[in-house]
Amino acid sequence: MRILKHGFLSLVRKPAKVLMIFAILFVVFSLLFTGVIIQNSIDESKVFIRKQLGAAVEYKADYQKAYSEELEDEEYMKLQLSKTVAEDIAKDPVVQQVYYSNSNSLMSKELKTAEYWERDGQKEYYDNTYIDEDGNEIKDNVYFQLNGGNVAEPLEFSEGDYYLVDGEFPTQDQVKEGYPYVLITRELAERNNFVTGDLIELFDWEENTYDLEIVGIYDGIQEGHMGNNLFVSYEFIREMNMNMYPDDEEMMEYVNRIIFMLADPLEVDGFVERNTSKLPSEYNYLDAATTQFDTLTKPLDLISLIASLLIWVVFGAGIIIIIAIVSIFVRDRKFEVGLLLSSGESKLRIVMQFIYEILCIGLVAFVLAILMSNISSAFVSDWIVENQLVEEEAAPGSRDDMYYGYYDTNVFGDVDMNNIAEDFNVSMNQEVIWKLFVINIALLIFASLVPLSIIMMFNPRQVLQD
Amino acid sequence: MAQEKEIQFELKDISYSYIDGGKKRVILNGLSYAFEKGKFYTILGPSGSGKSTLLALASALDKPESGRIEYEGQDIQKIGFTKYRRNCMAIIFQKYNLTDYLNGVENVESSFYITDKKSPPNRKELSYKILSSVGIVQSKADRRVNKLSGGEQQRVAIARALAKDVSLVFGDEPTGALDTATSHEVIELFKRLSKEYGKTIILVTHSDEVAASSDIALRLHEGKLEEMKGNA
Repeated sequence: MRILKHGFLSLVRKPAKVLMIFAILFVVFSLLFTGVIIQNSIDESKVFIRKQLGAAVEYKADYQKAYSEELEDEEYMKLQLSKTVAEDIAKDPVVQQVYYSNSNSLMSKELKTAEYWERDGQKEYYDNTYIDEDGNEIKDNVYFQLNGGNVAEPLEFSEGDYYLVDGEFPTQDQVKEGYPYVLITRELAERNNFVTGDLIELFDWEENTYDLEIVGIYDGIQEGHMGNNLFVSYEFIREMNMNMYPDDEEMMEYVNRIIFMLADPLEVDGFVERNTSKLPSEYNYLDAATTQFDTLTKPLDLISLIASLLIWVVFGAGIIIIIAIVSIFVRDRKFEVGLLLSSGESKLRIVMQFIYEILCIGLVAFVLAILMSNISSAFVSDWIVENQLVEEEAAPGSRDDMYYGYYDTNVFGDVDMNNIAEDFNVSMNQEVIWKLFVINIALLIFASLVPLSIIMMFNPRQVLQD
Repeated sequence: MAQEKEIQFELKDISYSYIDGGKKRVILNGLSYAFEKGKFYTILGPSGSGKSTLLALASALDKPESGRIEYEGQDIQKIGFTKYRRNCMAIIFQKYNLTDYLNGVENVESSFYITDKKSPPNRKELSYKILSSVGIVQSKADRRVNKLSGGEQQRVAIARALAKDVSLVFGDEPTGALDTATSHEVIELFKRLSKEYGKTIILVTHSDEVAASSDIALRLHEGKLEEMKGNA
C-alpha cells in the first residue's frame, strides 16, 4: 500500500524528473518498437510468401549441377530419383501425402490422334498416314503419352489443372494393384467416340498389347499437343517396363517425379532441412520453391537486417541510457532511502517502490511510443512498398527454370512482388503489442535493477550523513 | 521496599572505532548503560565525542565493533536491525528528515505503513489528531513539508515518531536547527511524550538547557557515559 501510494505521489509531485525520464524512455521505445514492428511485418510477409508458394516439396534431380560439372554419361545415374528414399522421407510426420509417378508411351494404329495445332482458329490434327516411295498409303503409329501415379486422384487433378467431365477416378486398390484403367482427354474421347467403360487396345515397342478400361474422361488446361496424354497407375507402367525390359531392374523401379505434400506450408523449410541428408546423392535436392522464395524475400531480408541492427543498437543504447537515468534517479533520492531505512523499511520494498515508479512512467511511454511507432512504421512501410518491393528479373541460372520431359503440373503456388506489396502491412496486432510490452518491461526491469541494486548495499547511517 | 527499575534499553560493553589518517580512533570504549522505561534522557558531549555514533548504534543504523545492545532484554541483532527499527523505536533528526514530496499528514501516515502492526483504517484521522497534539493544525498538516517552518517540520517529525506507537524514541540534536522559542516548545513536547505517553526518550544534544529539562543527563566522556544529574 505504501509503495503504491508513495510511488504515485512521488510521480505526480515531482513532474520535472518524471518528464525527463519519460522523454528518454519514449524516444528509446519508439525507435525500438519501429524496428520490431518492421521486423514483424517482414516475418509476416515471409510467412505470406511461403503460404502462397504452397505446402509442396519436390524431390528433384539437379541437372544444372550435373551440366556444370560435366558429368560422364554413366555418372548420370547419380541423378536418378529413389522411390525407397522417398518412402523413407515420407515417414516425416509433417508429410500428408507423397506423390510419385513414372511415364512411358504406348501406340495404336487404329485410333485417331487428339493432338492438333491451330491454324486460323481451326484445329488441324496431326496426320499419321503417309505415302511411301511406291505410292502406297502407309498408316503410322499414333503415340500416347502415359503418366502413371501412385494415387487415385492424380496430382494434376488435385492441383486443379484438370477435371473429370465424365466417369470417376479409380479406387485406391485399383491403383495399388496396377489395374489397367485409363483417364483420357475429352478430345480423344470425342475423336474416337469413346465413353467410360470402353476398352482401348494399345501396344508397346515390343508389340505387347494392353487393354485399358476408360474409367474417366477429363478436360482442363489443354494444349493441342497434349490430347493424347493418358493417366494410368504407377504399377501399370512398372508392369509395362517389366514386359519391355525384363532384365533391367533399375527400369522397374524408375520414378520421374516425386512430390511431398505437407500439412502446413510453414513446415517446408524444416522439412527440407531435416531430410536433405537422406538424399542418395549430391545431385538430388528437395525443392520447396527455394529459388522463388529467396528471390522474393531478398529485398525483405535487407530491410530485416537493417531493422535488426536498429533493434540491437537501440536496445544496447537503451540499457545504458536507462541505467544512467535510474542511477541519477536513485542518487537524487538517497536521502529518502536513508529516511525509509531508518524507519525500518526493507531495502527490497524500497527497490520495489522505485521499480513501480519507473514502470508507471515506462507504461505511459510504452502506450505513446506504440502510437508513435505505428505512424512512423506506416511511413517506413510505404517506402518499403514503393522502393523495395518491386518486380525484379528472375535470378539467372535458376534450376527451377529447367523442365525436363513432358508437361509438369506446377505444384508451387504463384506469387509475385505485387502480391507481396499488396499484403505488406505494418498494422499492429495483439501479438506484436504483447511482444513489445514484454520487451519494454524486460528492458526497464533489467536496466533498472543494475543501479537499484546499489540500494541493497546502502549503509543507512552513511546514506543519511551523505 | 525500593521499586525495581524497569529497563527499556541497555548498552552492554559497546566499543566502536574507525581509522582516521591511518590511525585507529577509538570513539566508544566498553560503554555500558541501562536506560529506564519512561524516562527522558539527554546525552551531552563535545563535537566528535561520539554522540551521533552512539545514537546510530542505538538505532541500529550502524553496528558496534563489540558489545551488545538490548531492547527489553533482547539483543537487537537477534530481533533483526530492520525489524527493530520498524517495530521498536523511532528516531528524530536535526534536519527533520521528512519526505519532501509528501505533505505533513502523509508523512505522519507513512508510519502506519512501515510497521508489522496492523494499519488502522482511520490512519488519516489519527495522523491529524497526532499532529494536532504536537501543535500542527489541519491546514498546516495538508501543506507540503517544504512549505512549513523549521519548527513545524520538527513537530511533524515528532508526530511521525509518535504515530509509530513505539516506546523508545531517539533524537539526534532535534532542536539544533531551531530558534530558542521553538526549541523550548519542542523540548516541552519531548517531556510530554515521556510523562504522558510513558515513552523512553534519548536525545543527543549540545545544549545545556535541553539537558536541564531531561530526567537524566549523561555526558559522553572518553568513550563512556557518565551521569551528570538525576531528577527522577
